[in-house]
Amino acid sequence: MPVQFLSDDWAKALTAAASEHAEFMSAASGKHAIFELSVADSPAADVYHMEFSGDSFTVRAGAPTGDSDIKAKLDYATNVTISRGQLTGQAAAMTGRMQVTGNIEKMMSLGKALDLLARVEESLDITY
Amino acid sequence: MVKSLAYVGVASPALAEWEAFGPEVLGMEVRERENDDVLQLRMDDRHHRLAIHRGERNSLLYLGWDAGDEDTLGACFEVLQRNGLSGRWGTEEECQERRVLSMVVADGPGGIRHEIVSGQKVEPKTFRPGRPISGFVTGEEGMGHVVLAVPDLKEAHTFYTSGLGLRKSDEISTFIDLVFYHCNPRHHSLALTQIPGVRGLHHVMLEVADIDDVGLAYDLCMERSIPISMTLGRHVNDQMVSFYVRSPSGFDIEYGWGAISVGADWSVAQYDRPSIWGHKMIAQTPPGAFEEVPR
Ligand SMILES: [Fe+2]
Repeated sequence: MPVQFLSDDWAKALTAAASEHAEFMSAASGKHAIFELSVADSPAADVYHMEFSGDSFTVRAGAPTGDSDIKAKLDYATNVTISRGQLTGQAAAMTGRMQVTGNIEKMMSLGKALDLLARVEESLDITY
Repeated sequence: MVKSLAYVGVASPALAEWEAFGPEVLGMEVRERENDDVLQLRMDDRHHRLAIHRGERNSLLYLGWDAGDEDTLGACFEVLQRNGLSGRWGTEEECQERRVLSMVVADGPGGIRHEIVSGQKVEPKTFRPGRPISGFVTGEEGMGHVVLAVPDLKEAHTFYTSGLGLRKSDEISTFIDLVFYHCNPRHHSLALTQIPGVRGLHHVMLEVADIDDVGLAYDLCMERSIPISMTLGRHVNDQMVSFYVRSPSGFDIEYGWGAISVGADWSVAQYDRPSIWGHKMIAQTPPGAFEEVPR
């Protein structure tokens, strides 16, 4: 079943696929961070977050209940480009296509895991 | 091959900010402007070491490498050709603009422009620091070091070692991987990190002759609320005591003292952390003057 990018269903599907992706889980292992993304012009959620909690990883539509460590602002088209693996999250952050503020050390420590997310998303049927 | 890092040129809208930051915080000397669109900063009796060219975005424009003499410059040109790396002789205008006698221009990995030069202009006994400091460590060690992002480390390694003749000093692998290269006793004149799809300048390191120069600069940044990117710390490899401050052009300045030298008996090491102590990353935004590289 196709899922709409940045919808609740997409968040659930991505969480499940990521948890089964060995390389991703190894890159995410031991990381503790909440990464909140605000997406302009999104046809689905305009805010979502990723929670790295040591041995688990969760994506949810909407803002986190607690404080986020890292906040990012980007437009929908850029987020689609990242999701499709045509631009890495690190490259987007470093070149300003995604504006990041907060704990930059945490953001950089998530770099390899974030870059693998696009590979995880390849296994999903996503409608953009 | 190349003997030292001679100069760095960046594009930035922040010329006015540099006019205060360069001399008042870093102790550099601002050259009297010949051109409204270029600000040149000095660290010693060389004509200039850092040039800020007016531009809409912060980006790295070029790195200048001193070949030492024209024979070596000619040899550099031949090595670039032999290794299939692009290289051409700089025009008279390009040489005049950089105040050098001769130049070879080479496009490095990710499209970063390198200028290998000979005969940089020197004006003896003219350097006047922008604030009282004991002085910058330059001479045979050049202006300092640069840390660059490149899209592909392997390709970059070939260019910098086979093309420019730099030698690997060591590697640090943490959540990012860094490879360090030297071309004189300075532990590294260049370090590289791989960010796929990205090229540019992470930081420029300026070394001062006294730890108090570092401390006074740290105080000035605090007093003026200039954002510190990384707190005071000591690196594992060059053992430099330094802090990082965000420059007006996005990239950081590492301001340091006390680095070790590499000699003939140097052997390459690997480390799993960047610092013995300190260097806590406290910046709230990512550093750098980076650009996307078309894939
Ligand atoms: Fe450095």
